[in-house]
Amino acid sequence: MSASAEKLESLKTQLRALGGFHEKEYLQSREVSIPRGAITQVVGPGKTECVAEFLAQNPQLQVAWIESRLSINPMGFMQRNLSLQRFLFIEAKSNFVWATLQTLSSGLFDVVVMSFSPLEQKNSNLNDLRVMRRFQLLAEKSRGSLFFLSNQTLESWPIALHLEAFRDADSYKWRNVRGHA
Amino acid sequence: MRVVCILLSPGAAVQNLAECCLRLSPQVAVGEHWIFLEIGKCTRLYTEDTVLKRIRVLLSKFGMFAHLAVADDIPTALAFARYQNKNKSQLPVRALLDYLNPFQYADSLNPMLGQLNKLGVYTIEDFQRLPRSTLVGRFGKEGLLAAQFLAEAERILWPHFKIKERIEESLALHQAPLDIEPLLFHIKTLTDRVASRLLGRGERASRFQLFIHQEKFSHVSQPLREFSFDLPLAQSTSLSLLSLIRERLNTQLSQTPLQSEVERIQLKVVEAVPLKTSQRDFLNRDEEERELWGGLIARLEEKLGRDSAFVALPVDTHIPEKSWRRGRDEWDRQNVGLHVSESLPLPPPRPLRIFADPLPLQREGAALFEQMSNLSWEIEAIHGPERIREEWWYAGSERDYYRIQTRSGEKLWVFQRPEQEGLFLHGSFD
Repeated sequence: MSASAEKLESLKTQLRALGGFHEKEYLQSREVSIPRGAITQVVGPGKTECVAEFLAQNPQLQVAWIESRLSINPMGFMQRNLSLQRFLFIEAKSNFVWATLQTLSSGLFDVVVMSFSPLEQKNSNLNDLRVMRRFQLLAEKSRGSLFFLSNQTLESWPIALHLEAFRDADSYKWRNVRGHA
Repeated sequence: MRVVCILLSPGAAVQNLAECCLRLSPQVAVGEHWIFLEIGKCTRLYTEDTVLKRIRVLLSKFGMFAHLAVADDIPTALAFARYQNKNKSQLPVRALLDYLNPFQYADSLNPMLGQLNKLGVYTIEDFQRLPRSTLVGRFGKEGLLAAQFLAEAERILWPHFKIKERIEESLALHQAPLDIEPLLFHIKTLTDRVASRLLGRGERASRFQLFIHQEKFSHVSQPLREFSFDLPLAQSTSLSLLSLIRERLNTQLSQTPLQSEVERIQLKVVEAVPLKTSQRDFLNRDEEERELWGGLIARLEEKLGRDSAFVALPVDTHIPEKSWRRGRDEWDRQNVGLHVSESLPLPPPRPLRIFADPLPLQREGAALFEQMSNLSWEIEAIHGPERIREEWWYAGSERDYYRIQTRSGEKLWVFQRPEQEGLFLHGSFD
């Protein structure tokens, strides 16, 4: 690239930054990079273990963990070297979509995890594109990463990254199924 | 000394505005319908212009109009505000009343003022030219007193300003709304006022009440609607109070709508706690984040119920389902680590998912079935058992836990009671 082209590119970057546009940031994990300000879906056996491992690798992140009926075991997090001080747990019953929107819009959390079953997915308005778009916009605004943990893939274009967890010998790993990572 | 005088119209809520002004200066005094602020010692924090702008913002929140003036002493500031004059010597001679008693209007000088007019003494400058020795003979003791107060205006003592025990704001509505959104628009005025007063007093609201007074028609069964808010974490911003009110009204007014037009709304802070810092720290966002955190918890609990949003605190027990409890306040959040006992060894790896009610399983050879969710797995490997004995004082039994690896990739956490046959799915390493 010539010097003038480089200068032009740097000017473009500066102009984009002035206009409020920021380059996409990524949070590092062992196998894939998780985009900030976007939605990531994780499916498959071992998905919670993979997210816990990712959170342990990024100890600076503040996390909100949302479920309709709480089944998460916080002691399990402690055993995986995660400080409970970083977590806010929310048992949202049928209002888990609302609770996630509130949590995202507070801008307090770097990571918001929403865990739901196929039945909860079916009974909620998660299949509504407007809701997904709201999630996407709020995640973008708060620069937080929103994780969907489910057993069933949710097909919606605002989801930036689809990951699939799988067992590899004695541990769990995740791989990129679709999206940029 | 630099004194700001806020001269309001008679009958204005002077006390409420004065409480807000405590944020600008700790030295506040209240007159009949005017307020004095000493800002001479705050020049490093803000300029006189900034103070006046902030006071104008407060006035607009309270829907008040006022004349503002700044001077070197209390009575001169009041006279400047009253006569809209910035030259002390050119003040009308009637301003002597303000010098004699700047905190309450008195008409004791009226005979003397009449005489002064007849003598052609119209301004303070004219009055100061009169020989002091003749004042008693001409006007009696009031003449000498007025001259003395005029000369020693800076030495007037500041009376103690006492804040009200409770914060209470109300608003009469002329265009009475029935819908929630226009009503919230008016409620915002109240929350703005209450938040300003809380900030001035250095407090946060932990309990407050909203009253909606409806017009008393015969068909209205309950003209006064009352909504009480008990906050898990005290709040001081208008936005957080308003969002809580919005949630509550949306839920309750959709169930029991208002029956007639609203004629008055009232907001009352029943309980307040001290705010650690009344001035925002520009270099540290902790205070702001605490406020946001409190606001979020309050909103979530308002909608989802008490203890629905919490931090998890570890409990020293080997029973998996009792190994943590819900903590909710700021102290719990900051001190999660204190609850961890370092002396106790960590138990063997626990699953990340533990079900509140263990699910009964059926085993047929290498296959496991769970009837309620209609799920089945094929066993690949079994690890265990790990025996967990429940507390004997609860007459608890024993459980043998197995980690079952399935062919589809899951790791299940299953237990069996030694004295019983059945298997139960208690969690999964999901």
